[in-house]
Amino acid sequence: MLAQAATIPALVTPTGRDLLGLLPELILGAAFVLLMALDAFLPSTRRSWLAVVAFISLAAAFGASMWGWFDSGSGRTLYFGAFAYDRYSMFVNAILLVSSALVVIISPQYLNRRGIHHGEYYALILASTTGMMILAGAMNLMVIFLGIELLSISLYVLSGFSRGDERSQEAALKYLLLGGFASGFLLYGMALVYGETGHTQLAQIGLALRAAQTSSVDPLVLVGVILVFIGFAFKVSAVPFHTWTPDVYQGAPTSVTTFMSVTTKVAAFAALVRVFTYTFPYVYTHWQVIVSLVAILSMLVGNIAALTQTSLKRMLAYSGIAQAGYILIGVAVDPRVALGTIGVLYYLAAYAVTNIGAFAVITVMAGRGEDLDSYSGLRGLAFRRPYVAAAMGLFLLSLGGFPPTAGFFGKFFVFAAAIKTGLTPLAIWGIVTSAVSVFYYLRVALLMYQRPAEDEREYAWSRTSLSAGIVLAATTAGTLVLGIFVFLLYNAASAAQSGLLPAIASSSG
Amino acid sequence: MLSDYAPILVFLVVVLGFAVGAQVASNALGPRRPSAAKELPYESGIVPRESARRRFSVSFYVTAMLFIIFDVESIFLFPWATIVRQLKIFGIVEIAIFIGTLLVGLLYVWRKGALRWD
Repeated sequence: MLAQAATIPALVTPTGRDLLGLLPELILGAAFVLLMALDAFLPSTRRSWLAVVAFISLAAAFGASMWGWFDSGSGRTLYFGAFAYDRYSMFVNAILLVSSALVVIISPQYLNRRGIHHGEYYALILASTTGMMILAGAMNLMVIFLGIELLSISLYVLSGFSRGDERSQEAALKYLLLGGFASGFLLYGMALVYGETGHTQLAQIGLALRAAQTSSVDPLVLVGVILVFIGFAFKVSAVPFHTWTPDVYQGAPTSVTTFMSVTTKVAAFAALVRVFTYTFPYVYTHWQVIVSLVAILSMLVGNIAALTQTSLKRMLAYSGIAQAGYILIGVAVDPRVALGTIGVLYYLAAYAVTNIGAFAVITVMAGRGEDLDSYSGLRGLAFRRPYVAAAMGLFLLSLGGFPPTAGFFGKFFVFAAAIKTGLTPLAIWGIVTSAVSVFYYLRVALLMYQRPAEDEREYAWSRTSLSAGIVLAATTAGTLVLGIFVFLLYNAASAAQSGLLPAIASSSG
Repeated sequence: MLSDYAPILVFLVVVLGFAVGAQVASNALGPRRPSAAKELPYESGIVPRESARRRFSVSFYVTAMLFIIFDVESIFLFPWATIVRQLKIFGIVEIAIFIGTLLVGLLYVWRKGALRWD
């Protein structure tokens, strides 16, 4: 179908309402510029101020998002349909901003100890978070690409932030090259979708696909849809597009790994759901097989590979791959069933608090100039740092999906959605692979409660600082609250789902 | 429709055929008389004095990169200038923010010492 020759609209400029709807992104963008200027003029001994400024701006953006949650109501679009102002994007914003704020809190101490406390760090974190929020609200293929590039380019620099460390440099290069490939796939897919439907606006694409459905779906649209999916699969590190994940997670400074392992996944899944479940529902039967297949492979490869790891960061990287597989189940369910999207949102929030907690333990335990990375470093942790070990144990249980933790209900809703829509094999596969995952999570937990051998050199754990204590307390509380008071977040996720734009398909149940 | 792409396919075949054909033909038909002068790297007709593979200051790279960044960004001023009248006050504010951001970038570069040459 060739694009209709669109009449060039009269020159229109965005209104104040558009700008106000974009307030969270604008706050972070302005803070980014401010931080760059501050970094240039502040003496290097005052770097921690930058963390304070970054935290305040994240808090302000969070406030703006909360206001947006109530103000957006049933949702509307900004900038002539290119951007969504709905509860869904505000919900995702909240997860992203809380995650970034927790990372900013633990960063100064960690960066100082590693000797890489440069001011650009906070600016890049903010830029990346801005990109993620743009991705979460994007309703136009070009805006999606813009968001992905903004978040990725900042992360390429951040993962190579430890300039003297070869591992870190390797991570940055690997991430850059593979990320470039992923962007290529994504753009090519977008080009094909645009070429066949004649639109870049998600709402228009959805309508065009609905119209085409009555006759027949063009194979090139399907190729485009698959290519777009591959681009996202790279970002959420789903098998077989996961190969960069362990190396990058291990090589990047731990605070950066904490940040990217959680927020990239949240933002990419947010966009994935908006594009696939809500824009492409009329070609669902075609992409459902691919998404399910990738989910099955991710759960298998992630969990099996995690079994053999001896590095904590690599183990959590493979566990992250497996978790991406579980979340993909929520994407693969029938778009007409709301529980799939709710499950994805719940899982993302649960994964965010849990994974930040687990990585924060590695961050706060890092020694001078090196990361605590091997399993043996954790041996006997419970006798020296009982609270940290208990928190880590809780995070591992949550990642393994035990009640009453956040991770259990994340899995529960996703699997329930799969069973409800007749994808029972997918749910069974998820439960089986979760059982496998318990082995490697508990192995680490047990290690912490083992007495170290007498002659063994004890790992030189650093003292747990106030900032680290705050983060660990917050993530522990989050993991428990999301595991016990389930309906707090379930209701919010449900409200976020009900106003999700673009509303092309009439969803029911 | 898929058939819309047929001209592209024809174009692809012709381009590939021409590229491969020209290479093969010049290899098969052209005479070869190598000499020492022909083996020299071409430097606009000047006889090379030393190896081109030597180290040079990283400042060249930084300067070139900065030039590209600011150059590309200044290109945005041209489309803006063509419609500045229609954009009214909005356009003025928008471009002021844009240039202000660039200015912060320049300040940053200057303070970090990327403009110093030594």
